[in-house]
Amino acid sequence: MPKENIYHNVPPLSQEALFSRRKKLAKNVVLLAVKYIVMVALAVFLLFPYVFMVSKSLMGMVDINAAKPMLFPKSGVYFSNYKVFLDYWPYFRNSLVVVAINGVFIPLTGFMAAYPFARREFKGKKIMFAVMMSTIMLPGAVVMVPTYVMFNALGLVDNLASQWVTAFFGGGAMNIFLMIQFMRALPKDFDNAALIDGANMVQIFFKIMFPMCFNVMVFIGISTIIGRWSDFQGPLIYLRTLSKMTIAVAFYKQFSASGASSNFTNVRMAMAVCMTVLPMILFLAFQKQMIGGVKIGGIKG
Amino acid sequence: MRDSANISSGLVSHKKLGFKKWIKRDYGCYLFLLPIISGFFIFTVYPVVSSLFYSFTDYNGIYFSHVGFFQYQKIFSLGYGGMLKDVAYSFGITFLYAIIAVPLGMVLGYVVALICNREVKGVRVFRLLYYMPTIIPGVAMALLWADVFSLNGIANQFLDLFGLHSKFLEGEDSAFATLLFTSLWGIGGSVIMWLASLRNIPPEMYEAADLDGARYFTKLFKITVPMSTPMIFYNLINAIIGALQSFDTYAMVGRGPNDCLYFIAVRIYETAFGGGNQYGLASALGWLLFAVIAILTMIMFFTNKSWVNYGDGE
Repeated sequence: MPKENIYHNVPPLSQEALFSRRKKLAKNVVLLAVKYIVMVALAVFLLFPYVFMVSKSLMGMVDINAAKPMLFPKSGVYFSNYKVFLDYWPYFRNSLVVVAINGVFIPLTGFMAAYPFARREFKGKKIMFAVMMSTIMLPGAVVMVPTYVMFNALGLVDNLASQWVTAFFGGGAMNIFLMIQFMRALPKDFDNAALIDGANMVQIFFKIMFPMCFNVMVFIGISTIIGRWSDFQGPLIYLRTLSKMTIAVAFYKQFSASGASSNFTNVRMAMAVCMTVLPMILFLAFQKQMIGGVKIGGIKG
Repeated sequence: MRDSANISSGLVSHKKLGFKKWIKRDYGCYLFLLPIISGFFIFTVYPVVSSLFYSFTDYNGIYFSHVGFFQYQKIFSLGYGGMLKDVAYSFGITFLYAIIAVPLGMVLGYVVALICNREVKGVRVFRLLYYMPTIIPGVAMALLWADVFSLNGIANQFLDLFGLHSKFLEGEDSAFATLLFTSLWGIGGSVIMWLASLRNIPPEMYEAADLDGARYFTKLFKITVPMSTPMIFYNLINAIIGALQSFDTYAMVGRGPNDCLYFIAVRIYETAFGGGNQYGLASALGWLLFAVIAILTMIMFFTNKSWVNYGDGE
């Protein structure tokens, strides 16, 4: 029975009832207006840093060095500040290599690990799952020093490979857990039908699970890329030579060294804006998967 | 269900299985797990074991000359060369930050989600706008906040309107509050999650409450909040564990003025890689952090039954 039927046979309203209904409607409109005002105010508040960053990146030297800081450029707009991007291009390239490898192989190896846990039975599944999940609790600080020592022995210190080599060995317990949760919810009929048709595990994995889990993998890939793009602790520990650094840490080194360049806030803001371009584009292009992924990630397993 | 599981794995019983049959049946699964198993041994087991060992030595990357409990003794002693005061301060300030910033972000995110939740058009756009600041690289944000909160910056100019002035990140008594304030820009993720969890509450519950004439706040505290508790719980654990290990502040404030923001993750980093190469001490501090996180996780897991509503069948 559709719900609407209940309301169709309602007797005509009395004058009083009509009045109170109108009053209620007016109250709702006011409430809605208040909601919108709050929401817009919040959006302005949250977007302020970004707008300010962009605005400052377009200011000329006069505006930057004015006694009183200003919100918007007064004496002309200087797009030439963005030339700084060319100086930073080598670091961008390093970062692109790191995020590309991580963004592809972390979801892929994670997906490979999640598949048997979610869809198959095998000996030792329970204990392996428990061990994997317990690694979530382990702080990075515990393994930081020995990993560094190991990488040093392997010649990976001051080598860009240190930033992507782990992508081929798993992909983070949290990501795998997320994929397991997602895969468990998919109907088993697909696998069974394929099995009956004589498909093997690899075929099921690539031809059935892969397309069905594509969105989750996109989410994990994109959030890995965004995370690695801004990651700064890893490169700070492992990369020494400036020419080998990723953009985040190269940028940090440049502006923490301050000195002469501290007067060029506009140029540095332009650089900061350049750094945000890739995450922004990726996020907007994949917003469906991103928002969907944040939702799955937040809902407890 | 049981049958389908059997077909898909081809197994009959778990226990009566010879080695050959077992390998024949399960080798596919193990091959799929090969990367993560090898990764687990290389990047988790080995570092964990050696880190535990380092923490009982004075290892500096090249050699060690002593083995014993002295690193832990150093951490827990107050006398000459003792670090108890400093370490306790680092843990204290980290814990304080986590315990304020995380619930603050969650509560504010929840309120925002409640505002955007129902009968409002354009939620999608707002949701997107709120999430935007969280994807700006931390280093870029660090530069920006340093500029906004500089002594002659835009924030102070705003305060001037009220005849006030603050040193913000450069003042020992204002740096912590300023840092907390900047953490507000990260609520976008929690807003999205709360919106999703609010949508998952069955509308029948509200309809029933409406029939009983329930008011908005009755519904909020009797239906909406209790139905969100599994997510509150889960996110609380995750976010606090994350915040205890937070290193993000390093780019913005370093150790803070007069070391007032010397968070534990920053201390461990500086101990190991800040010049002294005190790998043994850094490992011991890492294990201390692990102990704190483990205890917190246990407490939250064992107490959650009293205040978390998992619904039926959980």
